[in-house]
Amino acid sequence: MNNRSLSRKIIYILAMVALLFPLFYLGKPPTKGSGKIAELRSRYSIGQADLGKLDPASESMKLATLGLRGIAATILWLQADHYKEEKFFDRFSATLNQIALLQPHMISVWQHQAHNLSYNVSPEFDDYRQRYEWVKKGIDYLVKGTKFNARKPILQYDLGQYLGAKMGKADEKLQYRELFRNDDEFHKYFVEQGLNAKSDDALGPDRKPDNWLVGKQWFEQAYQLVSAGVPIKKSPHLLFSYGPLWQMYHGEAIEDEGVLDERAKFVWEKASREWKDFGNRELATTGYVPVTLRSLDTARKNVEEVRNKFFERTASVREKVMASKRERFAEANPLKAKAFDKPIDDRTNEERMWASEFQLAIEPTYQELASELPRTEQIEALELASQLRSAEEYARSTGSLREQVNYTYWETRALAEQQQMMVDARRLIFEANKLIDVADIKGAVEKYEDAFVRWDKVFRYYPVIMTEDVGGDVLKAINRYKKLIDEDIDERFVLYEFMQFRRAYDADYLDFNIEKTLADWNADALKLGSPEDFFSTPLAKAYGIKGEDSKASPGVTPSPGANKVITPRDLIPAVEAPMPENPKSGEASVKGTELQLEKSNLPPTLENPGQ
Amino acid sequence: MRLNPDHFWTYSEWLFQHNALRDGAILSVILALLGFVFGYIISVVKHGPSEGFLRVSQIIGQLFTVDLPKMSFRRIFAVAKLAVKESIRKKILVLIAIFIVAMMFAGWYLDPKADYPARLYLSFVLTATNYLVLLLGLFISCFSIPADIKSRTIYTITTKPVRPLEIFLGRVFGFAAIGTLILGIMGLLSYIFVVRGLDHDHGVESIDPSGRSGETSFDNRHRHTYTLNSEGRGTTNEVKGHRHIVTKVGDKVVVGGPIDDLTARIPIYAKGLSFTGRDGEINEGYNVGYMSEYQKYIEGDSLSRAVWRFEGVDKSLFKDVMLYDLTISAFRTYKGDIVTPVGGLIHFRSIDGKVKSEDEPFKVKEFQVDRRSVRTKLKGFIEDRPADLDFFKDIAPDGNFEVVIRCQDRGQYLGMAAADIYLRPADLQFWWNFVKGYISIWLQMFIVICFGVMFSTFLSGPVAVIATVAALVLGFFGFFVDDLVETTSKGGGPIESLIRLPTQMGSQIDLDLGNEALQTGILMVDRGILAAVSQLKNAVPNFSQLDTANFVAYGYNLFGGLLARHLTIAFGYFVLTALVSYFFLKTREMAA
Repeated sequence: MNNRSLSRKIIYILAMVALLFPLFYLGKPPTKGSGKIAELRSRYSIGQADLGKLDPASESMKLATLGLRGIAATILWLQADHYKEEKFFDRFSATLNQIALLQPHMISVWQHQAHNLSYNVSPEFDDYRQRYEWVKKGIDYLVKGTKFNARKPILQYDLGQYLGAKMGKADEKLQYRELFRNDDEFHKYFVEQGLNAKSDDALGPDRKPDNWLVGKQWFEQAYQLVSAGVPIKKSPHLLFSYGPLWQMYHGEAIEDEGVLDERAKFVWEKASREWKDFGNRELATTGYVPVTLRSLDTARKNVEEVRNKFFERTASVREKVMASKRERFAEANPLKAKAFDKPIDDRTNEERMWASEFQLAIEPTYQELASELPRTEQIEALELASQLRSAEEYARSTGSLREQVNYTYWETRALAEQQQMMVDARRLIFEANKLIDVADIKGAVEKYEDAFVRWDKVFRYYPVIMTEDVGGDVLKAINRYKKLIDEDIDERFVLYEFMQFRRAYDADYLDFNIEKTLADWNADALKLGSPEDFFSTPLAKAYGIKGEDSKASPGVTPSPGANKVITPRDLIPAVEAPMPENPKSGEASVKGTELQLEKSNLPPTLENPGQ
Repeated sequence: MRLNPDHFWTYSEWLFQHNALRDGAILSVILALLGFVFGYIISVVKHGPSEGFLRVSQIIGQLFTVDLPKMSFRRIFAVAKLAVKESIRKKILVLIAIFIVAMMFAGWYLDPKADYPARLYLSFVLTATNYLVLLLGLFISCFSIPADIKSRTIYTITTKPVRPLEIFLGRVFGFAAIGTLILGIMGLLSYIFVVRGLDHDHGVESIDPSGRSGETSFDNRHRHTYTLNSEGRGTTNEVKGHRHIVTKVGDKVVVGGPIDDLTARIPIYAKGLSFTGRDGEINEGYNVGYMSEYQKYIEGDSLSRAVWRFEGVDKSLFKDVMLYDLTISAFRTYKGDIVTPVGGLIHFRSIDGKVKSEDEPFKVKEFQVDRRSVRTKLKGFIEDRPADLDFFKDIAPDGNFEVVIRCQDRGQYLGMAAADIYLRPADLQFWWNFVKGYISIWLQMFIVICFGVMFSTFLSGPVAVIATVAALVLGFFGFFVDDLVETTSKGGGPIESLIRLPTQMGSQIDLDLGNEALQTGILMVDRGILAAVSQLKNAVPNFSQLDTANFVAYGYNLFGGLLARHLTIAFGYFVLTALVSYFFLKTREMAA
């Protein structure tokens, strides 16, 4: 018995010694031919120091749990939920800090709890200043998370969202923005954490950090990481759209706050450039070929070219293939075939559907057309078919991504916001609202009416901006105006068409008639030419507005509404008519009226005017 | 801080009105009977029915005729001294070193940006001390008697003769003494840690042109604004739970040290809170959708009211001004005016409602203590006619009165619980409240020591540790067992949990094993286990109720009545464990 026990012990010891050799070999620091584990760690950047900062508090707390870290973390999570339910927010916050120490590399901990703090806990407070503090706590929590997880751009992305969307879009946005711009300690904190919140890029028109621009800086940090190859679970077209969008929201925000001058135009000009750069960026898609959003027109032209070439090659066999398919399909679907053969006007609704299905079914595919060609022509045709499919896919992807980010709208919006006419229109509305607050009804009505003339002009040149927030805000202004004048508005009102359009759009924006109306307005806008030609158009003449350097634009089709009577009141300013506008030309701009518009349209002089 | 109605009871109310004495007496009788039956059964097994009965009776008789009358305090003291020496020999004082190390590194874990650092610091030191001291009590008490039995030194003791009860008492007092010494040192270190940690100064960063207000410098992660009166004295606003006194000395403005962070309010709570609904009907207050039902709500701009009833308030406590604190909350059904907090009106009235003060408007300060006052000479109404009132003559001649709150803003709600308004005649010295908090910890430690020594009289050392730990766990987390028994908590009992965990079945989904009989069987077994554990839980002390750290951390005086209750409970467990230990020591073989 003793011998057996002794021999077993010797075998164990020998086995342990034998295992020590490969262990030593694997666990060595990386040298030539050894140190495999260290080498793998370095290659995949999964060493503790590669993930982020090393925190002694976190490491010692993990060690102190003696292997029960998971249980400790679970208990803390349950406790945190309990404290949140019972509104022990100070204990809740303290518990979150402990959870973060135990699970510093679990991203969802940072994301989930930061969201809890900024979005769930903050509204529990009645005082907006306390709400702001708790939004800041959530942001601070995320910033701490970025230190522990240096290669997780999703945290920087979330920071951009919180600073922008939470502070800039909440009901308390005015208060939050005001608190943020005066929160020196918070700005210093960002600077200490590696984000220069006091650089020119982050400063608003009052030379104080703006939440939108600081949020944009966080996005840019995320972009740097993504460009360096760190993955992020966000679609590229959405991810990269936020930077320029935040610039645009900054422009919106400062205009809401009354900055309606060259500074606002400069902001939008920068936004326009950034949006254009975004449009030129190559964006990965689910297909193999990356797309650039601004290449849609080129892509469509390419599709048309290749399609024309292909159909030219296959013209001779098209009818034959179609006839064959029609025969086969008609046999299988006699009702649909019958519907297809009926004249369009005689079809019922169901028959119309059947007819279009039948048409689709008998339409030959590219493969079918190419296969019918003689052998000598088939290869070339098949190559063209393949090219055509790729081109169509590219165009479709590009179009789809553009729609998702509403590219056209923002492109047009940024352009429109740079125009003096839009700045004037906004300023007049802003001033009218202020006059309402001091009960100057007459003054407010006059301002509104001046504004509506300019809005009409804006909408004619940039119809697409009627559809979103801008149109909605103008509609609200119209409603306030209606209450002031206490009269019904009829077709003589300068924005009557806009109102009709907007009501229909709000009821069903997918309606075919809405799209058609918008398309018509867009077509008319193109005919109007550039805004500086406006004052030579019949529209301008109808309004009696003259420009000093007005050029005649022959052959311009009168715009819709050009011959209408304007309003019951005199909408045309009593003094000299405004000048044509061109923000880039530096020409003297609008003068006259009580508005005292600036003569120069050059961007404001800044220390660092930008790129 | 959450206060339950039972916190407000005085000691005599608890003892007589809420039947603590009666329940304790009944429990003692039941336990005595159970103990007798249990002892008799064991004795019957060993010695037969009649012999067994004789032995049990003998032991009980000896307790009252021999052991208790002949108990010697000298011997108890000797055993206690031995216990102290033994503990020191086991290097138990190392615990102080561990505590000091924990204090040194506490800064790593305490959030410097906390809104109420005083609460955080106090919670930390009290909780850390509590856990360490309970562990101390656990380990020193569980191994002592088994070690003596194993080493046979118990024979030396019992042949002195040291009676079994004296062995128990000597051990308990000895360990309690060493625990008291360690607790005292920890308490002193904690106090210094808290006071030093919270102490800070501010300079003056900016002064308004008027010279009567300004801003302090940014220190300790915060700054204050301050205002001065015409005499050059004032305070800052409250930030992070404290303020500073500001005085103008010549041309300089001097900011003093922090005040109000380490306090011990002596609140006088109302005897009850009632609500009326939006049409004036009596109701229980509205629930606005929160899971926690601690606070109920009243509707704004309606007949909805909250009425607190105070009784027996001593007018000598308040001379010209009656101070009171409000900690109510607000709920908005729409944002409305974001900048202005939700407003309410408060007035005081006599019990019959004929005399009442004028409505005083206020704005809600959520999650803060809103310090308010009402003059004892005030304007009001007597039977709806305007009059000048004397509070304690007209409104509360017998010390009874009501406080009525309503919400001003339409569509908004104010939330309150019974403890959300209290009179504040004075504040206690913080250090004394701190000491009372440590007395609570001492009581918990004492109970653990009693249980540890009791278990060690019939179990081996490690098993006694496990048994004491089980008692501790049940004591701290017993409420969880209650939730499971009452199925408030989802997830089922132990057998059901064992099935859910590996199958990854969420707690919100009903158990579905595809076999009705098996499911029913599992549920029945679980119910039995949980019921048994729940009953067992009732036999051990409720440590979570004995924990009074929140009182100290949140700055409320630890009521003498509450402390007296805890003392009584501790004494009850002391007597229980003493008797159990006596019987086990009396009847067991001393051989290892």
